[in-house]
Amino acid sequence: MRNLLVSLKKIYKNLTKDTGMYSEVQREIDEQEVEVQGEYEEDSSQVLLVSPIPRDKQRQIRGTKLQFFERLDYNLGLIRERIPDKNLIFEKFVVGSRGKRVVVIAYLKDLAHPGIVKEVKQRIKQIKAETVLDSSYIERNIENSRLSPFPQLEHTLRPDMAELALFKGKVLILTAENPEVLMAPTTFFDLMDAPEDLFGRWFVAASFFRIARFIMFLLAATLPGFYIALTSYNPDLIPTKLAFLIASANEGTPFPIYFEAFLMMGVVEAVRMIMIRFPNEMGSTIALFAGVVLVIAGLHANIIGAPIVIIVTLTIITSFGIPSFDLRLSVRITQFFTMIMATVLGLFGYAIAFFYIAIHLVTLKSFGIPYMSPFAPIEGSGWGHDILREDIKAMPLDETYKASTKNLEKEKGEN
Amino acid sequence: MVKKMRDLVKDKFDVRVIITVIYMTMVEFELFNFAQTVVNIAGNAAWISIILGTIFVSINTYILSKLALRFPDENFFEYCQRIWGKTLTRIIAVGYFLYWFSFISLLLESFSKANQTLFLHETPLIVPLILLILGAIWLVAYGMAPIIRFFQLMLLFVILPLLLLIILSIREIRWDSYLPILGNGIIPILKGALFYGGVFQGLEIILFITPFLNGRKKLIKMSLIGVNITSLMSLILATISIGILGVQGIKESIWPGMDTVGIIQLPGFLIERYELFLTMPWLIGIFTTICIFLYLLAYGIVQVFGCQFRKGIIFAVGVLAVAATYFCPNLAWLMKMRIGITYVTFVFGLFIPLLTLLVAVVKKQKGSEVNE
Repeated sequence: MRNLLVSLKKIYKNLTKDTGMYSEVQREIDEQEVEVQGEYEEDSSQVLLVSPIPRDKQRQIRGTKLQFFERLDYNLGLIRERIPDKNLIFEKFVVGSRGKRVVVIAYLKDLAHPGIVKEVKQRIKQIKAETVLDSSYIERNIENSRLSPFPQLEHTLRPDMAELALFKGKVLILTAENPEVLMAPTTFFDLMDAPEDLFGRWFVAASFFRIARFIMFLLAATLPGFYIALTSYNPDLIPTKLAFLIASANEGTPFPIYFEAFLMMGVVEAVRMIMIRFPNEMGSTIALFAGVVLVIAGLHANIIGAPIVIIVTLTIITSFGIPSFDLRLSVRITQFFTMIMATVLGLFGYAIAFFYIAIHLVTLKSFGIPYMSPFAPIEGSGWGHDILREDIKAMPLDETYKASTKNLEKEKGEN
Repeated sequence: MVKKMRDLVKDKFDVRVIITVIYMTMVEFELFNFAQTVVNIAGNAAWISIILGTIFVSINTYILSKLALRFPDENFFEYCQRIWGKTLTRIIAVGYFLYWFSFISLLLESFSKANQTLFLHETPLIVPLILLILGAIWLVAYGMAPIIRFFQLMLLFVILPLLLLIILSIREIRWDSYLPILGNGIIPILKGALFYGGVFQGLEIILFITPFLNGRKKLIKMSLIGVNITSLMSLILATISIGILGVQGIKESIWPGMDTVGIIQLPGFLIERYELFLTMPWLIGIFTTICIFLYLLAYGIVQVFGCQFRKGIIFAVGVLAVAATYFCPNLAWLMKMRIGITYVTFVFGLFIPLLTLLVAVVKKQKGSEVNE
């Protein structure tokens, strides 16, 4: 590992020598990086302990096991090593009146849209805080809508994903002492994207799983609400056999269906929190045990009906099909919203909830990019890599954020 | 569609978006009526009326597109001031506002009645109306671009259930329902065609959407495609309805669409009742149509009268439209008014734009050239 870092340092030093085209700010950060590189030699044992351990949030099937970690210089070096390109630009900012946290943005000058880069810089400069404890502080201060439940920036620990983002024309935001790299702008379809889609061999399978993921998203966001609406207000729309089964299962249960649904969803949230808070595998076991015992006891005591258990379990399973943790959280909120609307106004309420969520999604933007792009607005050229995965030999890239050279020239002319 | 990132940031759309906009603006109560009035007029030859009516609507679309292309960077009320003068423009605009306002109110009232029958039997009518109009106000407040994006997002949820219904219902059709063709002569068919021409309320959106589009040279072609796709769907649904319910069945039905779908049986298939597949596109259709008319009305008032409080106007117009529904005495009156407004559509959807185009041509007035 030490060898890796030494070679990384050499490569990085060579690259930082090529400062002919960089701005003053660029040179400044390069100098700082070279200085910090020196620290590696003095205290590299610190680096050895943490850098190679993959901190997986998700199981990784293919791709590099290297990850970003707390050292900004290391993270920048990692990016520079992957893209030894003169168009790769780093720009440094210091955020926090007292904490003085260094924030660096990275982008490919020929691919990133100048308007987006400018916007990112402006928003970072406008942050007013005493210190930046985490990259999430940066995130919440620069995103378009803080009230929105939907995340407007993506974060990653993986250098390959960061590289992909750069080639998509996105801007990376790296924060000192923080391993999470933010990527801007971000659309809904970026958040539904899993690395396996890109690295998977067969494009048909990748497309299939992507579509499955979208269906799972819809189910996760709306299934309990839909069930409440149908059973409580319009049972006539349920197939007869199924309606009888649901009715017989709920016979004798003391609570109305909507209450059962809220109760079960609450239990699931509690179990989820146990799993996060407990320090090791024991937490999962306890959470699982508690959940199973509660459900079995509830069913045996006839306090809850079996159909709602199926619905809630299905909702939870499908919600885990969503790759982004932040998006999963927002889906949980929308679940409750659709449930409340369906409880109060049945199918109509469900439809209204659906409209409201859709309205929010179409009015939301991330650094000028419509959040639902390339679906709304429909951008046919983006469907092959954002919604499905087209059959290409090269790595599928995104054109959504890319400004072609032609456009840049035009914009220069306009200015 | 949108090739340039710049256009995404500046909310410009490819001209092909007009297909979606036209379809989503037109789709509303036809989904429940399945062209009931045309069947009432033309009998089992209603499908011929629809085909003839489509030709008429296509000509109308061509005229509107020509006018829009003459002033591509302006909307109708902007260039009207140059063509008709300020005072006359205000009078014309007030006419449009009254027409749009009446249409929104009638649509809201129709929705409210259907909603009471289908979903919320005991809930006060005002509750769903307020929730619906609040959603529309929210969307319209953001302007045209989010409305278009909303249409695009919803398109799939309208088209897919309808296609499923069409496929499933084919096996239920009794083919003898279409015979005899021309049994009542040609006059009812022509009357039906004329009526069908007025069903396309909201086609004037072409006059207001052009400034948001790129590649406007294709506007005529794309508008015609949009209108013909909408008409094709209407033709298929009406034909299926005649084939399943028969002319008499349609005449006796309140919502022939629902009755047609209710007959579909497919033993062994997962679903037994298909009404949900019609109510979902219907609700979306109602909402999108209300949104576009509310946009035209509120932004029109803001533009023509130079009002400052755009959001306030949108809100006020929305609330007033809901309040106006209380003046509707009963369902029969509502049906009558809906048929009446279909004929008024000719004035605002065809005659005024046609006159404007003629005057603009005679006066040799035109806006900037279409370069894209």
